[in-house]
Amino acid sequence: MKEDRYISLIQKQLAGDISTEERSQLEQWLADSEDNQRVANSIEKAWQLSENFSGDVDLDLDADFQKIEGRLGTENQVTKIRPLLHRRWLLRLAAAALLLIVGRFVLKNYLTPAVKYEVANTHDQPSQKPIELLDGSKVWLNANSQLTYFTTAISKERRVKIKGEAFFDVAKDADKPFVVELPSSEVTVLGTSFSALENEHTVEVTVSTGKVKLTPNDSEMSITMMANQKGVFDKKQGQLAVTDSDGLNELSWHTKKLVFEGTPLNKVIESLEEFYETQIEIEKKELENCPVSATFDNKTIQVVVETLDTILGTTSTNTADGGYLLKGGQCD
Amino acid sequence: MDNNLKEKEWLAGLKKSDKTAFRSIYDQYYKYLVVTAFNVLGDSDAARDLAQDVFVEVWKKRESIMISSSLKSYLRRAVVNKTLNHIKASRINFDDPVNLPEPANSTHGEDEKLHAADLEKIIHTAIAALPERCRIVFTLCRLEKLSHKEIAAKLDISTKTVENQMTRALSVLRKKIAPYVGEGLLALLLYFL
Repeated sequence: MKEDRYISLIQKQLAGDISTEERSQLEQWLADSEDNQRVANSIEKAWQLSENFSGDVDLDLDADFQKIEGRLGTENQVTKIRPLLHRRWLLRLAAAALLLIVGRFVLKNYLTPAVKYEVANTHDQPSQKPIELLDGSKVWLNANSQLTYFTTAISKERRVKIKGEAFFDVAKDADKPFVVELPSSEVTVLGTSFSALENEHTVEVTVSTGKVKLTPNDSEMSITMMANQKGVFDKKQGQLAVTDSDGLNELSWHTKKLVFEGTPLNKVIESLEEFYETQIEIEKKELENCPVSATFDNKTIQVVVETLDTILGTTSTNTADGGYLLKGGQCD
Repeated sequence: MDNNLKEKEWLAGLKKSDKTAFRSIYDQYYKYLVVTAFNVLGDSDAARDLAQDVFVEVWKKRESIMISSSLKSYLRRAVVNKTLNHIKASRINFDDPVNLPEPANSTHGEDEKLHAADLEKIIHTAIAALPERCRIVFTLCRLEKLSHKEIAAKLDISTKTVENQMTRALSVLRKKIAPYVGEGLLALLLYFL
C-alpha cells in the first residue's frame, strides 16, 4: 500500500531516523495535497499522545511479596565461606592499584576540558585545500574569513563559527546537527553542502545540496532553503527571504567554475572581473547586451579572454593597468 | 525525608541483608515495574512474574549490587531486559501478517472539538487494543525509546519487521483520531526539516 510507505517515512522522521533522500520524498508527498498533510498530522498527533501510554494493574502487594519471599528462603541458609584475611587484603591492594591506573587513564582521556577548538584564517586568497573536521565535514574558506572549529570528539551538536564566507560539505550525522554560528545568526543542518556569508548588511546562505535552516539570533523566525536556493537575512530591516539562487556563479569562488547561459556580456564581464580581480572593457558599447554562453572550468583569464574573442569576433589587447580591452567584434 | 537519602538508606540496608529495607524498595517500586512490563506485554500475569524475578535477583545480588544511576532506572532497565528476554523466549511470530479490522469511522463531525485529554484517551485505548506483536514493537519504541535496530537485535527479528509493525500500529492509531486533526504542518515535523 502506497500510504504505508509514507507512514513509515513519517515515523522515521518523528524518531529522528530518516535519511536525506527519504526526507525529500516525504516533503514531496506532503506538498502534494492537504489530505497527505492531514494524514501526517494525525500520525504525529498519535505519536505524541502515545508517549504517556500506561495501563493499570490491580495488585495485591502482600500476596506478591510472599511469593518473592518464598523464592528467597533456600538461598538464605547457605553458609558463606569466609575468604582468608590476607587474601582479602591482597585483593584490596590490587583493586586500589587498578583504580589508580584506570583513574589516571580516565582523567587523561575523558575529563580533559570538554571540546577543544582551533581557529583557521585566510587573508587575500580563499583556502586552497579544505579544512577537514573530525566528523569528516569539509570547510573551504573564502578570502579574509575565519573558522573556529572543534578538534576533539563532540557528543551533541557539531558547532563551528565563521566570520566572512565559507563553503561547507557537511558529513551526515542525524544525531548531531551541524550548527554554524555567524555573528548575527545560526545555520543548522544535518548533512548537506552550502555556503554561508555574513557582511555588514546581510547574511546569505546558498545551498548546493540538501536542506539548511537559517535562524537569526534572538529570533523566533527562521527560513529553510533547499538545493539551489538562497536565504537572505537583511540585518537592518530584520527581514528573511528565500530566493532561487541567482546566477550559476554564486559559488564560483569555491567551485572555480563560471557558467554563462545566454548571459548579457556586461553581466559576464562583471562576474569575470570579480572572479579574476581584473578590468575588462569593451570598445563597442552595443556589444553590452550580447548573449554569451560558455563554461569556464578552472581556466586562466587569458584563456577566458581568448574564448570571448572567438565568440564575439573581438580582438583583445592588454591595457596599461593589467586589464583587457576587447576591440571590434559583433553580436550575432 | 528526601527520596535520594531514603534510597541510600534502603540500599545500605539491603547490603546488610535487612529485609525491612528490601520490603521498602518493593513497596516503592513493585507496581512501577509491573506496569512497565505490562505496558509492553499487555499481560498482567506475565508482567507480575517478571517484576518478581527482578526483586528475587536484587535480593540475591544484594551484596554486590552496584547502582550507578538511580535505583528506579536500574530497576526499570532490569525489568525491561527481562521483558525482552521473555518476548524472545515466547517465540511470537512477528512476521505474521496482522489482520486488523478496519476501524469504524468515528461518528464525530470534523467541527466537533475534543479536549486533548479525550484524544489521548482514544489513543491509549487503541494502543491497548493493538495485536500483541504490534503493541510490543510499538511500546518498546515509544515508551522504552528503543530504536528499530535495538528492538530488532533484542528480539532477534529483522529491522524490516520492526518497521512493518510500527507502520501497522501508527496506521491504526491515526485513523482513530483522524477526524479531529486538520491539515497544515505541525511543529515537530517541521523542526527536523
